[in-house]
Amino acid sequence: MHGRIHNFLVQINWLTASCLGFVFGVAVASFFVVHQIVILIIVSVTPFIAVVFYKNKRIRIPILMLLFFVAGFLRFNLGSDIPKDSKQYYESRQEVQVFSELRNKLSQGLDNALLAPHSSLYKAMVLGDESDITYKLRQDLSRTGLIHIVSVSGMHIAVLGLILFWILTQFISRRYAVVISFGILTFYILVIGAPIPAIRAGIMAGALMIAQFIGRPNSILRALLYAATVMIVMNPVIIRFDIGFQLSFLAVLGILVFMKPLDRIFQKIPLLFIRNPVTKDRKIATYLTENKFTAFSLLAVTISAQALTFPLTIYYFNIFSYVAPITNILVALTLPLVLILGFIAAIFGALNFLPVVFAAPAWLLSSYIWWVVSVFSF
Amino acid sequence: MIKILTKNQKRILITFCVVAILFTVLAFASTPSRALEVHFLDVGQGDSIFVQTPHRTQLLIDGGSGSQVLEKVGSRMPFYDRNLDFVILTHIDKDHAGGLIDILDKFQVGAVLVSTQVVAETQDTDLAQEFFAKIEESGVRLVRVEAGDRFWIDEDIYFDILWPSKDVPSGLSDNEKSLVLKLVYKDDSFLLTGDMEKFAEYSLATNNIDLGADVLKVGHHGSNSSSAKYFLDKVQAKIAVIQVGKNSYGHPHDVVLERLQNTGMQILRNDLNGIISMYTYGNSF
Repeated sequence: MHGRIHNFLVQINWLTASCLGFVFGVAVASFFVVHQIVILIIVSVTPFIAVVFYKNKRIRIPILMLLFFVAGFLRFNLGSDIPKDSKQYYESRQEVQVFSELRNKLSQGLDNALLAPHSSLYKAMVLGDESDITYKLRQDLSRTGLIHIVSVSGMHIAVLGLILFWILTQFISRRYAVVISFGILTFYILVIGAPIPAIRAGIMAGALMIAQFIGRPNSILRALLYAATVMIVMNPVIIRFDIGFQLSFLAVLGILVFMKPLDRIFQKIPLLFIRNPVTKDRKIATYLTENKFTAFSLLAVTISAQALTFPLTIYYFNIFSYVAPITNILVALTLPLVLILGFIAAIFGALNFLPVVFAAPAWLLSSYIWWVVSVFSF
Repeated sequence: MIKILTKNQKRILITFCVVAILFTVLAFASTPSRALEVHFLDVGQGDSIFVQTPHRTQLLIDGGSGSQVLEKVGSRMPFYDRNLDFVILTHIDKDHAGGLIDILDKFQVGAVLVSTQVVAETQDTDLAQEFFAKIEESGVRLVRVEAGDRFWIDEDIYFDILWPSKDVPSGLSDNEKSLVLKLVYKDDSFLLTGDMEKFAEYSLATNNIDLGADVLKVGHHGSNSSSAKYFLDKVQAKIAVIQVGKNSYGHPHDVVLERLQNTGMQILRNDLNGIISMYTYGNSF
């Protein structure tokens, strides 16, 4: 069995078990219509089983799972107003508007600094405001498999968190840097209106951070599960109706499950082409195989992220992008720069201090991204 | 070489290289072409022509129907540029004036040129009111022009207003009263006709005005109500540009295309060719 999943199942504890049970409960309740009598029977029988078998240590964990399965089941069915379909869900959803004034200010700053296709790209990527992405641009982006970069996704939050952490560790100790960068991230997520994938990434980061502090071994898979549980407890209908939620979780799950083995296979590719690794070429071979994170790893990330999400994208959008691995490597590498330069352009645009000068690098980068999009969207 | 430099020095060197590359690319991207550039922008169904002279005088003639003109103009200008010297409106119509409102919003405009026949009071459509309100709000100079006016915009480059003259019949439609101008650079000339139709063409052709041009922007998106044979014979252009997008009017008409071909013009169309850019040095055609 695959190592990561094996570890996850062997080291299962009460928290993980209850989360798993809860998520499954909500999932079953939301995708299947169960008769009320069946619900009644399950609800009445489970506590009985739990009480009777609680002393038995072997099946304590499964019983906990069952209990929380029922809890999740009830949470979905007793929760008020379940929307009929995704459309109704999206109509009823309200955006979080805590610091919308700041967001508007930055958005105006970007308008001030850059012109239409460039400013709309940065508005979408930095501020999560997709209103300026026209229908045609949106089509080109989905055809090239890059539509996820114009919404603030978990990847954005992760990259931003790493940038902040790196900058802060230059001045203060790691311990404080983690806390401060997490605080800034939370603030940022609230500013951009708390889109679901960003919340997911934020909760995961928080879980990993807490694990680090209390000295528990941190597992990303577990953090993902906790994030899912927290969000489903808050609003159980997202598991069925929020497309962003589904894509975001499946993408991360795909990366966690498939990336390691894929990467291991890809690392062997260069060895096939270098016949005689003992001579001068050995240097290249060792570089390509022993360097931990190479272009092949990026390829592995994009493919494994698509592995679980592509059935969904075909189902919802009728799109399957063949060029996605290539375009993602070409564009995802620039993401840290995009975020930094986008913020610089927005801030200096809002202050109206030489906006065009500070937006010049941002303009160059967005020209590059639009060029990639136009080349691959034939 | 790696041994010679310390880690810090290497960092400085890399930063220096990145900055140097950045500036080279930026400089390259914003170098002027030293030619008279005439870009027929593909803004869907609608007219929009962007002109840039060797010394960076910039003209925008009409703005299509929506905000997509911003993107197209921006891609043909240096990225830092937010100025337009002249914005010329041939006549008030959705597919000509719509995008100009966005242009007035985002760009510093030197002057807006409209014909004397366009009167704000008589144009009681929403678009006209919005347009004139926008001009007043942004404090741009509004200039009224009529046939016989000549504007020198650069060395050896000028444009003439050919139509409408002072004494056009008042009953004419807006299309017939649209501005017609001729852009001249030494031996090369462009005839830009707006939406003018047969009456205006006939008047121009019979009034002994020099209509000869190398490039003709075909009137009214290639509609059959324009581009009469006697007019095309007078113009004798080498290239005919049709600014047309997806539409339900049947533009451009096959008859017009045939007429243009029979006169010996090469036809370029925005819906087939995308953006059409021409660079002339005064003797290029």
